[in-house]
Amino acid sequence: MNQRAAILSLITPAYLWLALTILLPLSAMLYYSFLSDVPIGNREVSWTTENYRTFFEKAFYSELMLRSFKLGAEVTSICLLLGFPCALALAKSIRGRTKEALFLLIILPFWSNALVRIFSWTMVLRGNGILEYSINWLLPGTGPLDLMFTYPAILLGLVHSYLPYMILTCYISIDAIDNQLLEAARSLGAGKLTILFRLIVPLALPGIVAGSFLIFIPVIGSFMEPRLLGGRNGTFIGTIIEDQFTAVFNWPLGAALSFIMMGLVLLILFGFSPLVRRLK
Amino acid sequence: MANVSVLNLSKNFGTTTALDRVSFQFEDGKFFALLGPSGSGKTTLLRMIAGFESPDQGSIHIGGKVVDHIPVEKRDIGMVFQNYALFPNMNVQANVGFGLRVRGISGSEMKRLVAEALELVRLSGFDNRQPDQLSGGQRQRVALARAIVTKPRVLLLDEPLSALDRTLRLEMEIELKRIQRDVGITTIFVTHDQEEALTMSDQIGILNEGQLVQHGSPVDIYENPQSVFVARFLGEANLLRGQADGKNVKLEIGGTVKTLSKPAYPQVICSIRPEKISIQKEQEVHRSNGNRVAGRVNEHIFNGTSLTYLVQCGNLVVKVFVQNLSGEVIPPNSSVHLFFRPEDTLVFPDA
Repeated sequence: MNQRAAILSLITPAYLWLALTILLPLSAMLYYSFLSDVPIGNREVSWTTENYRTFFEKAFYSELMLRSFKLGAEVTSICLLLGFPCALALAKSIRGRTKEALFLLIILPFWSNALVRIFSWTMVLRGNGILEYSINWLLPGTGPLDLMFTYPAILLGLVHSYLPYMILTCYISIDAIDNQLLEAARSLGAGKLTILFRLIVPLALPGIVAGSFLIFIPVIGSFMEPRLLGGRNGTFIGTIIEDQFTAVFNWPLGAALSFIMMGLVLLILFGFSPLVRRLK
Repeated sequence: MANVSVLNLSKNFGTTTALDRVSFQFEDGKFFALLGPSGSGKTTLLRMIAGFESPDQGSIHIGGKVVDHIPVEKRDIGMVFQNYALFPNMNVQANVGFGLRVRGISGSEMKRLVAEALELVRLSGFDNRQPDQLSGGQRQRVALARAIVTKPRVLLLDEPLSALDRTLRLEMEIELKRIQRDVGITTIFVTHDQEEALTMSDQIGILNEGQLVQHGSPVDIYENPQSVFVARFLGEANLLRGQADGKNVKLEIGGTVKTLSKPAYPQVICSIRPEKISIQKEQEVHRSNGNRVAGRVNEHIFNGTSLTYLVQCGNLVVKVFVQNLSGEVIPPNSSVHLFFRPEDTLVFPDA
């Protein structure tokens, strides 16, 4: 009984906090999503499902949703392709001081404000900016790159922001793989590629899946990078939702779109859950 | 199957010497134990034969060919690791079949060979189990089946029994020996357990501080240790200090004894195994030939089949093993005489 009280006292503060900060605002938003207007002042509001119907009636929204999911998939894939080899080298080949220094470099982006980071990208990418200037200096006559306000610029900014998550989650699961397993595979005649694809990748899958979700979910709802680096090309479901709250002042539609996005993400999570369960 | 020879192997890790000019010939089809305390270099030697470490000097031959520049995966070895290293993402069949699939053997041929190997280690029907559904002894057998299914030229075992409890270990010692005999594979076994080395191997190599200090058959090494270290490390030994006195040795604890060989140094240590000493009460002494030392019984430990006496001789406690022939126990504080043959009194220089 004593132990039970101890456990309760350990977990209650955290769960209470989560309930207050997540469930309460979320229920408020759910409430808004079924209203006809923002209930401020003397506006007349009524219950409606119109906000949800809008999404399915106007192709514009589902196209944007698809575009956001595509962005999420691309950013996640690039992060995986860049992050996994890096995590592998950090976990299995690099030791001591060098490893510490390299880890510091990975975590460095977390120390700066996201807005500052994105704005500094605009300095690099804009016409006659740092990137164009340097390339033209190295290879005269390359001409303008026109990267600013393009889809690749958004990818660049998002990969920059989210790559550390993939490296860190993959590192943790690769580091946990016993070196004797890899030695055993070598003693049985396995080459490097066989070891990578039949042992390391399957055993690191929990880290890969965790990293992918940590990146995919925020990326599909992202609005800062698309807006600042994408300009006219930066319209995604995240920026539309932000517009509903800050510019158009249509909170009910913004809330409904948010819940539709959340529902789709949950569907994907459920789709992956058999895979995740198999890993345990 | 092949013989393995190492020539003049040396290896340093930073400033510590792991191996110091070790040469040895592992004959085809025999079972070898590399025995030594931790840090003696035995594991380094095994890992070098496997190819996980490269020697600073010297070379390794497998089947008469130099393998120094051949990586582990091309050396055609089988290895069993201390914690078995079964692949947790594969079932027993996939674990055992891993080396076969790497060699391009799959389908029914792979299944047949895996079944054969599992039968050899008496685990038929365990194909679809996951490693975490197996007991320690079963994991050990799977690891062994996995290591021999590819018919490697040499089998390397890195303290494979140390994680098992005593009963299981004794059972596996017999099993391992049987499997090795059935397959006829050259086997090199690293252990720090002297009993394991004595009971299982055809040949024992004893390592200390990176050097191969002695090698030979278990009986040979046990009966004729070439140094105090070997005498103490393999089996038990009473060590009595003394001074050379012509052909004899004058012991510090009193008395003069004859030794197997003439003492070649002024300061010597005599080594006598506890089971080679007989004990008699002072008033019942009826034997006078051979070496004799007087003492007083401190205590006895009764094991049923045998007795261990701890006898105070001067400032030294001498251990004596006696077979329980008469059912009689000499009580503590009795004055006794200890007898041992000159042939069993080995003499070493006192370093």
